[in-house]
Amino acid sequence: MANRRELVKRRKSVRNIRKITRTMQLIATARFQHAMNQATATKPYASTLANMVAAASRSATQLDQPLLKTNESGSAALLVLTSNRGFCGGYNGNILRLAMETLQEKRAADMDVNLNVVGKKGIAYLRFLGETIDMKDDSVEEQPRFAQVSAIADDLMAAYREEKIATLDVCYMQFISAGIQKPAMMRLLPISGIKQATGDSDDGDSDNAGTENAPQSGEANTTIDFSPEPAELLDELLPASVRMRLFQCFTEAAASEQVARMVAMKAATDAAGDMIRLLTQKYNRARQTAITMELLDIIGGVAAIS
Amino acid sequence: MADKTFTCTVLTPERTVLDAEVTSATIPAHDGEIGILRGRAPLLCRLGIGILKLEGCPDPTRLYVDSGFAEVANNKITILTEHALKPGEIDATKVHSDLQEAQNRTASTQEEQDKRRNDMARCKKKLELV
Repeated sequence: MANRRELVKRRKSVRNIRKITRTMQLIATARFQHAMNQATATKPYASTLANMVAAASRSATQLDQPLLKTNESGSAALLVLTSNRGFCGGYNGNILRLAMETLQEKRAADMDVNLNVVGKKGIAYLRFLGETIDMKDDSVEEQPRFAQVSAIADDLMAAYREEKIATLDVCYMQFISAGIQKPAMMRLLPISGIKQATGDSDDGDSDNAGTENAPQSGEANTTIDFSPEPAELLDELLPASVRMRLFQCFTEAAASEQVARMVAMKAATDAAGDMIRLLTQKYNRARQTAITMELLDIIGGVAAIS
Repeated sequence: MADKTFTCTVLTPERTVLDAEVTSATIPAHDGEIGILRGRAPLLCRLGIGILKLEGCPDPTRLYVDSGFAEVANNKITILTEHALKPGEIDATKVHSDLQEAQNRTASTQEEQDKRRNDMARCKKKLELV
């Protein structure tokens, strides 16, 4: 008897859990749509900005931007983007594994590491490991706001200009498609890629650089009015592009998080369904056994009387 | 008239604010306003705090823009800004109180004074639109 009641109770609680996980799955699906839209909404801004940077750097006479040159001194900064909430499968685990590997590598190469962590899960994990966290932020919500992200970017860029940090890498969950996300490292500072285009033109290879870049923007041969001068314009454009790239990391991470939660909750719902089936089977068997026993008792009693 | 129009796109990191065909645009550059018509030579300029004025499009013809960049190329003007607000999106009471706060703020260092001046300019430009 006791066993039967126990089974009923367990089945009930598993049913409740399944309701919760299913709801969480639905919520994650809805949020994922949102996050995905946000991630794609950043694309036009980012590509236009990249074109502008390319145009300005091509025309700039000298490039002594602090964000472009490599800092000799300073520590290696690592920015790890994790989620604030759990229930998203291996999402945080995978990011933190990559982050720890990089951390060990840098330490092995005798570099000081400046650790910046976003998200409660990452903060908790690294604190547990006894790491000193230089900057932590758990206020970024599921839909990152540009203002928040640009504040983080500004702080890090200021540190870079003061040569406190030599490099800045972002460790985040790259969103490749709805089916594929993988933890990735992105070098944010010093800014690379721009150097080459301008490096070529600075070295007198300007014809070569011009033809190479022409198909990208289609305006390499036309003269552009700059206001203010290209070099001065780059003072503003480069930080803007760093902010934007970081913002894209955040939006991608947010979309990946929702996918991870969707998948994890789908698995949990399915597992709960399987468990319910098993418990129902067990319960029915227990009930049947009990009935058979009772019948046997009655038959036995009748047999004894007659 | 159709040949006098060009495309104007206003982008912020979070969304596309506006994408329309216009006949003229006045952009708030860092050193004063620049008027743009179809056929303008390529331009790349930094924006200040001000109001983007557009003619010939049905939608909002005025937008508050707080710094950023503008690019003109091939009869297409692209405004990149971190803040762009339509007149309807401005909360007048909040702007008034922000302006009050900025005006009453004591600013002793150069930085504080710059910030105060910028904050006041932002509020005043926003109020122009309300």
